[in-house]
Amino acid sequence: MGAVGERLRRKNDPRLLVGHGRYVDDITVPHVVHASFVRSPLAHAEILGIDTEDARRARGVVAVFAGDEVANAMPLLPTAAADESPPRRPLTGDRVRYVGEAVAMVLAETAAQAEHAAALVAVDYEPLPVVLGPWKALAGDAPLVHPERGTNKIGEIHKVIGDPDGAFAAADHVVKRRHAVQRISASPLEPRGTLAVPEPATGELTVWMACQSPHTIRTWLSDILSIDESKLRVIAPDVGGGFGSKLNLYSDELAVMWGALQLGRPVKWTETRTENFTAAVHARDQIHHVEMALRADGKILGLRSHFVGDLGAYFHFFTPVVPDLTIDTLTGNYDIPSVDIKLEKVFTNTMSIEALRGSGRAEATFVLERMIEESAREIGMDPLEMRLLNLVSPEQLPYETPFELTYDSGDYPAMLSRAAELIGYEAIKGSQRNLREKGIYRGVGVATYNLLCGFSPSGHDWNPMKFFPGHETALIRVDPHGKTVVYSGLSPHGQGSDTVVAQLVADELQIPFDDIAVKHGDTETIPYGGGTHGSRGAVVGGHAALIAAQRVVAKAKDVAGAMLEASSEDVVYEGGSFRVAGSREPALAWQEVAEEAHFLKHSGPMFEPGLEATAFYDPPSVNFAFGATAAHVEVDVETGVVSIIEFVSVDDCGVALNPGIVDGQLHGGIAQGVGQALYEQVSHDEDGQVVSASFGSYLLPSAVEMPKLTMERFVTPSATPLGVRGVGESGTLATPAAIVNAVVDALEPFGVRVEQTPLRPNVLWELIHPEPTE
Amino acid sequence: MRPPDFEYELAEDVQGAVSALAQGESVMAIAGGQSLIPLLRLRIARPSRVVDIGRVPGLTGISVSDESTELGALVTTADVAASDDISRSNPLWTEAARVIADPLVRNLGTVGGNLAHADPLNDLPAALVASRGEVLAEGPNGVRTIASDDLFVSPFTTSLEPGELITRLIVPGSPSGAYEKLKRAAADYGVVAVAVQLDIGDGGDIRSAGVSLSGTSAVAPRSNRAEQTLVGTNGGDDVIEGAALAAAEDADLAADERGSIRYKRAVVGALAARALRRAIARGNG
Repeated sequence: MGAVGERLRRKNDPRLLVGHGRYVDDITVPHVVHASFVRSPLAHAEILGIDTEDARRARGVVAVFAGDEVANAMPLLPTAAADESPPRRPLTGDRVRYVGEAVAMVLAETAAQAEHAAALVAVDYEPLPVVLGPWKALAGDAPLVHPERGTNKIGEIHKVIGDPDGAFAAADHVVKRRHAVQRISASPLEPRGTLAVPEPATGELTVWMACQSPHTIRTWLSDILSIDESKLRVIAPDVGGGFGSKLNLYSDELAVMWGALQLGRPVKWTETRTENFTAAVHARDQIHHVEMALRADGKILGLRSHFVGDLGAYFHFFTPVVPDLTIDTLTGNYDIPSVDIKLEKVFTNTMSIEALRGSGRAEATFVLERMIEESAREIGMDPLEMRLLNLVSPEQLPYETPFELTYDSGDYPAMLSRAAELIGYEAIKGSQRNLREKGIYRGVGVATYNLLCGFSPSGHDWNPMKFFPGHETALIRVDPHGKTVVYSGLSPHGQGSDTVVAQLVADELQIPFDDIAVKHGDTETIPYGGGTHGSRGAVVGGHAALIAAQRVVAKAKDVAGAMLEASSEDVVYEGGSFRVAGSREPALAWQEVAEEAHFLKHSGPMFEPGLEATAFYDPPSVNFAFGATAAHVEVDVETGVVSIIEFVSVDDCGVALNPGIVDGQLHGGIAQGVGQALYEQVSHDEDGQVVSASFGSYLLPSAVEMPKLTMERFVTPSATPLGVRGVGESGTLATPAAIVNAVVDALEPFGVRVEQTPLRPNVLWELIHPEPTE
Repeated sequence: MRPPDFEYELAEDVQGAVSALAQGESVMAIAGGQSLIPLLRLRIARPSRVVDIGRVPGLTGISVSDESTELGALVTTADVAASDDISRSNPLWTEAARVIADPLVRNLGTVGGNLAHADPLNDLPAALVASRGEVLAEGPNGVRTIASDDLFVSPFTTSLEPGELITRLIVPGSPSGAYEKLKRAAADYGVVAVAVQLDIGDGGDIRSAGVSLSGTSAVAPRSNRAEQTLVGTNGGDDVIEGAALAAAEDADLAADERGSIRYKRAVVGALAARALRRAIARGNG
């Protein structure tokens, strides 16, 4: 029996569960100094002066870096769309543009001393007018985040495909709505951390960093710090979640490395939770004005959206392309022939927007699925029925979307029907009237998704960065005992990709799962890879491991052929033993071949010694995973509290290499979707203060808030060798819309119009009980 | 963040704690630390010295009879939540303890600390006021009894004198109690909460009533008008609605991220009605 397809436990769980994980903060080196940052308390201000004298004199302080001169001596950070990007430096010396921007770095012998001294740095600010809110940022008289640009507008994309004007002219109904997707924070359990260890004698620099893509970081650092990549080593040790927020190189992280090089001493920095809320990237934050053109029977003829993306104050790695992804996925699983989508992107005095699990696509799914719901209700059609009428049917596949994405296979209507069946759609609808008479308001909502994932090939224009590989790698090295190490370019930080890779390789090499170790996250040992993000683990990294394993087997056949005095083409490998085709004897075990490959005792120099192979895999195209969700909710109309009675997720990720891991990925994604619908929000006050900078205000769903989940899988193998599709981000896409649609259904008698999330109790109550107008 | 430097003293007995706390305003007591430690880390509280009373002997123990529930100040809120005896004779306290923050907080937070911190969002102050309990306080001048109505002065301020320490809670028991709290998420502070404790006679008549709130501008205000509406009645629907409305109308509320005044007032009314219904059902059950 093979390992693939089995619900095997994740290799790392026992170690992590007993507290033996080693995160950046757990790593100690001699002579280390600790960093603490002075961060801007204002969203927009000119820096008139920085007094570091008291801090320099404080106990244990080794150095304080601050001021225009120091900042300008520091290297620029890499950004997406470098031509359009305002310069971003490790410290800012003249101006602050968001709350939390690093102004000074204090290095001291202990972390407590560094933090104490940082509180002694006095910064003289001249406050400037603050610009918040994307539409306000576009106004002619808006204060400018980057005055030298002359505008807060970053760019405009306008895609008109098909005949939208004709569609709207011919429509029997046009439904217009506003949909806002609020700003959220990734909130990883482990905040960010960096430990930079320079070796002045050789010019080498080793960096431990809570990151998702160590090779990318290494290449950028080489450019930035003018250190050969051969002298740079980036290690992602155990990393406690990233969700996209650790895909960047941040200003504070680079400051720590730069400081270590200045001092010639190791420097360590561990982000506090409070810092993480302001100094780690945010996500989402789009406002759409949408119009849907419908025929009388509910057929969608066209879709218009004019939307704006609030990108914050600077570009990080993917900042400007996140909303671009929203455009290209705005028709989802539906056959909508004509579209007119206009996107404006703006700078504001806030932290940057970046990739976060489902980035761009989650916004699109929410807006589309809310819009269909609203359209169906407005024209008096059942929302489920309208979806079934408009979904791309299996007969239409392969289907090219208006945005030239080609959906390969699947059965979207069947999945939606199944989700509706599992939640008990008809029964819930049928009991609503009686329950409402008793004051019980329950509703059902559905939503579908199509996850564009496994971003590739490398050169495609989704990739705005000069150094950011789309490929993935694996090096498989078999030792003389036949045990095997896979060095994977993936950099899993909670996903379990290491376990999945071991399963794949175990089956291909026909050896036990437990004989395989998977290493990752260290540029000194791992071949050049892209890391973990964008639901690419199995889709890209899995195939790299598969190909490398196939190469190892081919090499092993060469060795076996030499031992069996046969041509390697005549050697078959099955059931874990090598034999000459057609003959029964003699057979060689894997371990015998592995030993011979290294010591050549029996076969002489008929092959190159060793048993290992490397593969680099750049997929020819992106991948798609899809599904349907349904939510059954109850709303307490007296308090506005939403309880999710049950949540159904029907997902197709192709072949599930490890069903337990697939379930876990979906659970986590759904949890984040629940958070987007009901709990999470980065909020600013009118001065740009992040008022949600603690878990007392930024509400994360916990186990208590998780609904009862009913999961079912469809399996439509993709056209890839493994038949896999992505899954890491899937749960985030349709979950929020299904929940909000269910709430709207529950509150039908009140006719509430939901335009923004999260639907916290007070927000929903105000919609149910609007203030009486005079 | 890390707290600024402070001195730490481990008190060995009540007298030691009292004399340490009497040394000045900037000396603070710590027991479970579930309120003080976050305030230290956020550098909101900046005591010069912290006196740890967590291991002082004699401040633990739960003693329950039908008439009263007595709790040592160091009893944890988890212990209150888990006590079958309290659940039987004083369900208000069980319900209030069960909705305090999350299990991690409840395992460490103490009943004495929950009261002495006088946070208007805390739950036990409202339970103490509704049940007309009292605390024993020991200080430089000996032991005195403080009635619930006299304990809370204003947010984060009690009538405890410098050096005084809550050592024990004495709470009249009643099966006719209930606590209703609205939280936005399980681990969140409450939006508002309502504590109800009734004394119901054999004929179903309400002989006395205690109603108090959490989440208002004051710490655990007593809803006098709600109580008066209840006393002498048999707690019918009209009475419940009237008392709930009175509690809502009289609540001194402030708008914040948890909701507008209008919202909070509506929720006080809804929760008060639910708590009263449950308390009355229990009393008649």
